[in-house]
Amino acid sequence: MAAVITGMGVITALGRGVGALWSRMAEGDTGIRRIERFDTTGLVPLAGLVADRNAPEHEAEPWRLCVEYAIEAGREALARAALDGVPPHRIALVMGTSLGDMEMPLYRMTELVGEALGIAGPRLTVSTACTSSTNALGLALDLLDLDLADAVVAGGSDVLTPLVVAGFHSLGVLAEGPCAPFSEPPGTTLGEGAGFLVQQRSREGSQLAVLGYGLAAEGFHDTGPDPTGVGTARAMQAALADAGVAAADIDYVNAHGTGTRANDPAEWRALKTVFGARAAVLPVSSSKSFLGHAQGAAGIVETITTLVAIERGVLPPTHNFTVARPNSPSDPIGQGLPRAATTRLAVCANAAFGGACCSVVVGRSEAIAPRAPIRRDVFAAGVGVVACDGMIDALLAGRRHGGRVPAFRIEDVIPSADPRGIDPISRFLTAAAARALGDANLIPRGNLRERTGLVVGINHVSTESQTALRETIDSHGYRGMSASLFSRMVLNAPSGTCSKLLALKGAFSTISAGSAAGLVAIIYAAELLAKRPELEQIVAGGVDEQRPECETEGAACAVLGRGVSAIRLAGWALAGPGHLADAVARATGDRRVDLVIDPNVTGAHIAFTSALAFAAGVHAIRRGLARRVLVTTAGESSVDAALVLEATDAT
Amino acid sequence: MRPESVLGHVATREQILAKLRHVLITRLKLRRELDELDPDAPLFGSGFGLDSLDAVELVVCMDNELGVRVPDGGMLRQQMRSLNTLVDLVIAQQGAA
Amino acid sequence: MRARRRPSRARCARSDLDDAARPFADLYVACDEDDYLLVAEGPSGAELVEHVRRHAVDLDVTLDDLTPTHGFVSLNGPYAWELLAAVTSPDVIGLPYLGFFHEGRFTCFRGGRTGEYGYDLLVARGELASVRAALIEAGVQFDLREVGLEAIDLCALENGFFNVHRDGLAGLTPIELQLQWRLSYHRTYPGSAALVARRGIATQRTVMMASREPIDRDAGVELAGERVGSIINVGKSPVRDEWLALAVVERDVAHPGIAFTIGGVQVNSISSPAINNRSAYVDPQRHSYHTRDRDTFPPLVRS
Repeated sequence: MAAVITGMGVITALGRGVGALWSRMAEGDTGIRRIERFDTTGLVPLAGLVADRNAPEHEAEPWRLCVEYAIEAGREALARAALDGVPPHRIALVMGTSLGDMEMPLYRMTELVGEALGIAGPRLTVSTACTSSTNALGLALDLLDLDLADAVVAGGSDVLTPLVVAGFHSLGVLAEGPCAPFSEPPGTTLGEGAGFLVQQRSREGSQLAVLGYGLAAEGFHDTGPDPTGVGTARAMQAALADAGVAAADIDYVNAHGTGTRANDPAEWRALKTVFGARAAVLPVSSSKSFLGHAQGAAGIVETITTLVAIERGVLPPTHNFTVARPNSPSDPIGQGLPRAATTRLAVCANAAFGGACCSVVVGRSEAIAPRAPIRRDVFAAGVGVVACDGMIDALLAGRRHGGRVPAFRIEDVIPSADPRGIDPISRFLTAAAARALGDANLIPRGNLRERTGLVVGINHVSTESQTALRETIDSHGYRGMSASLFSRMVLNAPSGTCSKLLALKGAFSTISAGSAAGLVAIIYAAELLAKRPELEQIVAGGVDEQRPECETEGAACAVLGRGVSAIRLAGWALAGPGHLADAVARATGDRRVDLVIDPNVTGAHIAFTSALAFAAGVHAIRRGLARRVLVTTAGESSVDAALVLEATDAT
Repeated sequence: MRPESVLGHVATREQILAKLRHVLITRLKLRRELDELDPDAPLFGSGFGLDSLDAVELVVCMDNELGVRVPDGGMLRQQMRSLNTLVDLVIAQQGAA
Repeated sequence: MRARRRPSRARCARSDLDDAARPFADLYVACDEDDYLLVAEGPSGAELVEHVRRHAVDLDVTLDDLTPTHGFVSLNGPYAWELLAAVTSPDVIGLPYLGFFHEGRFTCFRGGRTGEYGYDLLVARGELASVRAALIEAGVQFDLREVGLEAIDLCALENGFFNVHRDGLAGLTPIELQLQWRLSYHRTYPGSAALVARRGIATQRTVMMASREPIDRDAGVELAGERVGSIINVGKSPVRDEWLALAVVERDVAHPGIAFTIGGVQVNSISSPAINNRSAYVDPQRHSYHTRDRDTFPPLVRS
């Protein structure tokens, strides 16, 4: 289902506000500048930083800057949207961010933004590295579809930190000068920024809209794309199918276009796969050439750049284009200035560490015929848990319980797994997913792998990896830090490892939402499976590794499928914090339930336990303890969630 | 009885091999024991199965732990084919120092 | 050989060692959904089936020897991927080393003993001629040459790949042959007990040697007048314009950078591989055989 865009707000290296973005882009200005905010000795000193936040006094507590950008962009978007008639608990927030500085949990940053903007509906965080905010725009469509909100403020925010600069530098992907996507020399330039769209249900008249989106996983490598661009291609094809448009109808593609040796040719191959012969004449440009790579916010700032251009009858350019690199788009709009064009439909594409790929289709609302999505039933095909003994029994008995996961080797669960680079959190998640697939008797094979998705609820990266990374930095400085540990610092790193080891290549996402994250991930997965014909089944769950604040750790995963099994997901819903009753009412449809499961009874309020509650619900029905189970959880100030499981022979 | 020069040469190589094996196990997390790491076995692709991310890690470790700068670009891969080629590089740089 | 596993859970015992831990087969094991494809060099198809059958007593498997019905065509070289892509599809560049895929007329395994880009195509005998013809036709633009196994053996020697037909015949175990990376000390398989017993007490190891003059394969390897080892494989490397020998010598001198004598000729031990194979530097994302003159690569012999 499409959503019209009633407001836009943005902060980028080209300035604050949509107006500044437009007027400077029209002049052919670049936002890439010298980094003054922190020391860059021995590193590339260029980035697309927000100009008036480039002084050293802004270096401390990057999360504050991230929240500040988000609030300002959100305010601009809401001002344009004029949502006076909409109650605050019917406005949702979906923020994409991959900020590497983990002082402040990402979901907490989203909560702060929600509070500042007066958003009291569900506040969700998508963290899939460079596809975070692209994915956020798509998730907004699902929230509107489910009637969980009347308006969704969707987008993202990210800040450039010394850690990120050093990390990308150590991977050898930074250009010496401002990046030249599709041209020479190869390499990317980092950036930062924030942006939001206000999305609402379609209405009469011609408006700019988000028309559909697609997700895929590559499972190829932690930090590099599959050279055939297969993930990007599948995400684009899924987006086109979701929007109900043909590749031939697309007028322009805003590419991920980082400029690196690995990305550009892979992306070009993806474009050829999706657009065929037309790729040779399709305009394809990279906004990173003047904004920098805004990481988690890349998707939203590039989509807004596209929308702003479409509104004004132009297409965004690629800067620094001189000689074409082999295997790059034929028409990169390489003159550095926007080109006059009438655009009805465009695709914005991004790809990320961990193998995540996401594309959205944007354009004129009248360019597509309205379609009601066909919803299919979703069943719980299997569950798998990795935890200390007795967690499910304790949960069903309403007892406090928790603790560490007993030692095990990943090779014992997945014989072909290479245990290197698999930190505890990745091990728990992958083993739980493998057990769930085993329980469901569903091992994805052949083509089924591309039709099996993965959605993970998680709030913190691996404690072990984070500690080890800090140690390498303390002893050797940023320049001597470990590149592989750096790549584990994005919140979707465990999802990426899981998807690679189990070859799960369908729709792929990572959600943070406080202690509700696991259940929210399962709900998002159910929604995707219900509506997307390209998916056959989907693995979803929540995971935590022990931390100083909470010793309990583990992972719980479910396999949701289309094939009729003994247990059906009868209803699900999200609501703003403090509105659990609304979510429960929607999920149950006001029908009675035999059993209510609340993971907070265990005493551990973490993503893992909210997914464990789902597994406990499945067990309860299998054991004949109940025929209809309500699983609920309240996720701090992020979101409340409810889901109903039902034995299929129940009336 | 081995000639003195050979003994000295071998001792130097064994010492550097020991340091490199230690790096592979403790920093790159190879699940092998020291004596399993043959000096001519390939590091990347087959052999020990290191990947591009490990290559970056190894360069950093060579600098941090052995004080050796691995040259950039094309030179990188030819110096990092096996433990023996890495030892050759260390000896060459230490000899130049 | 194809081993078709019935749906019950079974583990396949796979090994290329005889009971004294000496390699007799260089084995590529491809897990193909419910089947395993075993591609072996060393034994005949019948010998391989017999070996697996003898050791797989508890397994419910059907073993099919494909040698009567299939043959192999191998494509090797730093731009082999480009030729193969022209005959199959561009997606071939995404095939990882030791990966495989099914194409209409053949199954393609990426492995080989000559460098990064070696592709062994398993073809039904009836299709062999047409597949070969297609490759030869597309190969004109790539200066394709048909060669015999002797050329492949020489490439293997230059590039430090194990050659079961030569190195494998020396009566040595993977510990001497520097092949421990292929095996695990934590699993049990035919030959594993002998291997474990040898660990820590093996007295020899291989080392590569190079010489400007011809090397006598049958002469012993000497150091300061003392015999320290023997030769297991020799060849003349056209790239280095030198003779190469894979020797097995006492472990305490099995290191590069030492001057030995073989049959009175001075040879120097070197790090393996002996050549700096271009395939390690060719990047299918941006290189092409057709632009190779404009591309710069490191020299074929390490300085």
